[in-house]
Amino acid sequence: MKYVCFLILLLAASACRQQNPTAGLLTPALPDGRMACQKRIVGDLSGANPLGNGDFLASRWSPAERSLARAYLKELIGTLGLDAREQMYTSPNLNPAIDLILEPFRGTNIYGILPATGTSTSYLVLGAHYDSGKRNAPGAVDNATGIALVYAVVRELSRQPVRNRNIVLVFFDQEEEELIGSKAFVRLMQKEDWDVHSVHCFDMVGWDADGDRAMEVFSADETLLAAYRTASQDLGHPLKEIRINPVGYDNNATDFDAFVPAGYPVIGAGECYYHKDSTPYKDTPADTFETVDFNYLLSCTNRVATILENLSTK
Amino acid sequence: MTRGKQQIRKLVGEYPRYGFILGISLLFFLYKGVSYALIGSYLPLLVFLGVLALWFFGLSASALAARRVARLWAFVLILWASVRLLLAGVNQFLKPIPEGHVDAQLGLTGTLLSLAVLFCGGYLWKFRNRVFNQS
Repeated sequence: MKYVCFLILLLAASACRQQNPTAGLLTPALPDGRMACQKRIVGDLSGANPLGNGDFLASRWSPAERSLARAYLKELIGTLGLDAREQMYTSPNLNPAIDLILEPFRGTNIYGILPATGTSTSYLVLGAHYDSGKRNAPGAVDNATGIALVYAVVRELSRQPVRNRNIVLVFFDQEEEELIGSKAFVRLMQKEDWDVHSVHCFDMVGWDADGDRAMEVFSADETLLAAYRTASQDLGHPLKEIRINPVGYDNNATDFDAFVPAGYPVIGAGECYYHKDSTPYKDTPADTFETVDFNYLLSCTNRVATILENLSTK
Repeated sequence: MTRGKQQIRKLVGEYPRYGFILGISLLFFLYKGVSYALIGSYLPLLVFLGVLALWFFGLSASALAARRVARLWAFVLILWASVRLLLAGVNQFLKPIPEGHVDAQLGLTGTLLSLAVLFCGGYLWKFRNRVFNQS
């Protein structure tokens, strides 16, 4: 019996270990310039820079690393003057038989809401995942760049004198594990019954080997595709469109895929993954800050900012 | 008094340690079943209810039936713990599991939990004949 008691005590002690990320991860403050700001965010999230507490985020894969990343992202949302909210979720495993052996998925999405300047019930949702794909993968391109893009666009929108829609920025957990985080956020959106104008998901926006500044988008929504097309033509940058068929859609590759079956107008955007101009270092320890093409990230950010400014003022 | 109640009284009165370990193991899987049912996955709860039904049947029917149910439940516990320990061993020493949430539950806490369940299974297996005898 004493062995059982010992085991129970050990279990209790190990379960009580708490991750308590220190505040002040975002010190010194973010620079104001768009590219400098994005370099700082990508560097912080991929272990190129020390965080304010001296830690390095070498990866965002394990629960402890993701917990630290969340603390950082909450501070990041706070710099916009917004209340950073957590959506903690628990989801069963994909195969019910695994539920018999293993624990369910547990994760936390981080989001904030930039309210419309007037009264509005309409929402624009901008999302990017913050977890990285494999152990020891810094995830600079995948997907610190997506986070940097979303942040820069929302910061721009927050400075607009007029916004006719509420803007939600969300950083998804566990995209790399079958989109568990974004699927949980879909449930939150349904529960909150938001009147969602459109959802914009960004994944991997840091590689442009041929230097053509092309952005790849995929959607079933012609209105959204047209908005991206028009802005791209105005800026003189190529846009590679992939039109998907939402009927029976059952992909699990990127957060975009979680919103299609739920019937939301959604567009996914990033570097040209399906057109073969994408980082070769995805999910490896070589997905580092040094491999990110920040000029490309900036050009995509400018394009998306233009599109979202138009959509938010309509 | 029904045979089932007699058996439970005997478990609690004469073999409190066996009764405690059996109760703890059932409670643990009840907790798993309910927590999964709350998030929309009903298989663990269905399996637990099946095991519970077997226990009620076994305790009500005969000592032989109770022994067989105890053997089955002990085997299930040992199998459950062994699979998890095997996964933990593979993850630690052979090939790291790429899924973060699986890796996270095969660490120290997960291994201790598996060992505790393995101990429970072994104990229930070892003493089943003494507890569920014919007398």
